[in-house]
Amino acid sequence: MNSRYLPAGIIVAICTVISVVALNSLNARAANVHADLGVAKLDLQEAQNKSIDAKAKLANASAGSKQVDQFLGSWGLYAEEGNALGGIVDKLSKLAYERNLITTRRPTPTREDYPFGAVSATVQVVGFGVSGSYSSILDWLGEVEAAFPYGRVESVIMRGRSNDIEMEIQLTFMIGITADGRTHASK
Amino acid sequence: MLRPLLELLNGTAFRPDPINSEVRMAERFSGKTVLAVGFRPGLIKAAPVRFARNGTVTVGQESTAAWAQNDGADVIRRFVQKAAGAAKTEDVVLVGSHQWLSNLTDITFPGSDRERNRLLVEEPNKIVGENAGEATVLAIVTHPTVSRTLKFAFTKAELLTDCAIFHGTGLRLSRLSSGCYAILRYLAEEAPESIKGKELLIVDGNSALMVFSNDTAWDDSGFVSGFRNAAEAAEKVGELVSRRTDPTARLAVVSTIELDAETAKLTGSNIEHLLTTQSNPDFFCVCSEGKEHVATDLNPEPSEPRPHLPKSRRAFVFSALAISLGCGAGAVAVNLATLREVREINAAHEAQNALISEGARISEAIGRIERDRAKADLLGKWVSLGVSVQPIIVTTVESADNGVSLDEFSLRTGDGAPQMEMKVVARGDSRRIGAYIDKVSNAFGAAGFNLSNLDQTPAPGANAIIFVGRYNYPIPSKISWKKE
Repeated sequence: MNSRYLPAGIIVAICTVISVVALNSLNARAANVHADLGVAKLDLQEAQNKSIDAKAKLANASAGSKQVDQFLGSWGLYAEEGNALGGIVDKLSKLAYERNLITTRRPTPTREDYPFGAVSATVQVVGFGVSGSYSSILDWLGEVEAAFPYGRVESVIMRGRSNDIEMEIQLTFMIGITADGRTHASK
Repeated sequence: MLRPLLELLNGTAFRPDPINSEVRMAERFSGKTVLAVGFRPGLIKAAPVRFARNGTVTVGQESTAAWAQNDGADVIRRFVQKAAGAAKTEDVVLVGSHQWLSNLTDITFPGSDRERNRLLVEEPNKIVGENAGEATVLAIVTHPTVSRTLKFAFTKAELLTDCAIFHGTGLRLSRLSSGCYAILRYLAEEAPESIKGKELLIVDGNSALMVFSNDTAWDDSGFVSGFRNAAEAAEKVGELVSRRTDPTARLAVVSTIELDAETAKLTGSNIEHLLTTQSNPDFFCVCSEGKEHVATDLNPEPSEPRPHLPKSRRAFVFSALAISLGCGAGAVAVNLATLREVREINAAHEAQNALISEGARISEAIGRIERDRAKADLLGKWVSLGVSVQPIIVTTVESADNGVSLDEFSLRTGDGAPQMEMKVVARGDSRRIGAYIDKVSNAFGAAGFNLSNLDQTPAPGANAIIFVGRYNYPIPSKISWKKE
């Protein structure tokens, strides 16, 4: 090859070598990509299987959830009521006032270790005392129980006689579950 | 750098330069056409010459134009440009005849044709003697049978004058030759059988060359030039022919012009006209070369030709290019395939992410459902275990009559336990108290409670009993109640 074409020939040779090397490199990369594609397809298949399982679980879990929703819809508002301590006390006081009862009130801290069946619940305990006539107090108690169907009268102490009766009640409202890690029932 | 590379890539590098006079024209212009131009005082002619790929040379239709010295070079240029345009070529072969053959000398050179031609180019003095001056361009022809060589010495200045005419045409001057030289060279080298044992007369329009076949030295006595017209040419040719020592010997004649046979003394059965199938034998002979011989280009100042590579290298270069192109095509294909697979991977990842997100939503929904269930379960238990204590109190308190009085009354559940503890401090007759307690227990039983245990202890004071009863809540059967 004469000197005129020698540099061009060298360039052609270099280009040829580069082409071969580049093609080999691309082939290697293509092989990697191909392998990645296989892995991606397997991952996708696994995700699809999981999705199918999850949908089956959801369908299974959804069975009967309508009744649960209806039940929660019926009692959810009452359950929420336990969070409103001020409202409970006001209502107790109002009912007592309407019966001309004298009221006393005790501090009522929230408890988080309230055992209830298999769980430990968080409850709002409301202690409330009234004094007055026997009939007024029992009427008041009936009204309280009717006003707070969700509240559980856990303690009733009654002393005195006839028209000088003192009654202390303890109303408990469940507002959540804590011990087993599940979220609060009222939330 | 770029130009050689392009020439290498498009194959030009393996084809000889059209102006490379060291390469046969059939090789330079294989498959192409050149324009042959011949001119002499008063006339200019041109014809396309086609070089077939199989090596045959064909002279096409001739066109002519009148030309006078006073017209100047522009007339020739315009004519040549027009003819070249018609022939669709940029390459011109100029075949001159006027005043070129200034010297014609017989020389002896016993070497081979190849060696002779090489030396003619490289060391002309070894062939033509010491008088090969710089003002002279040489061309030689060796007789096919007699070991003699005829030297044509052309005046360089006259050749340059003719070359200059073409400088303004924009065309390439691929060969400059002389009619007599070209025809003699062709016959001696390419068709020697046609002139063996014969005397030869060549007439190229402006000059005539008589080659005597007497086995003696050739000399310039057989050459005349400077014809102004055909009549003058016939007259001078007649003078040449009359100098033959044996008028009966066979005479081969090649003429590019029509000669009056009588005047030219070209009558008789011993006259043999050669190349009669060629309308322009000078054009044909200039362009026809054998594989072994390359005609001398008389261009005194040829341009430096572009070197070319032997065709054997083409396979290597094209193989390299083919490999590169193949690799390139392969790279494109691989890249496309890879790109497609990358897209598939991305699509798979997107689908996977979508499924994962959906799975998360499903898990969240399941969690929400489970939380709602738990909440509902708890609420259900809470609500189901709700007992209205007011009726129990009423029953309990108001049952305390008939001699039983209550000092204290309390109801208590223990921290959410499904059990209610009732404590009563009753005073009265023990039998009546027992009846009272039975009544209260019955009331609890009527409310759904089950008696768990019953404690009775005497209270301070007379006829007083502390009564503690523990009653299990009426738990509905659908509610599980397990205290851990």
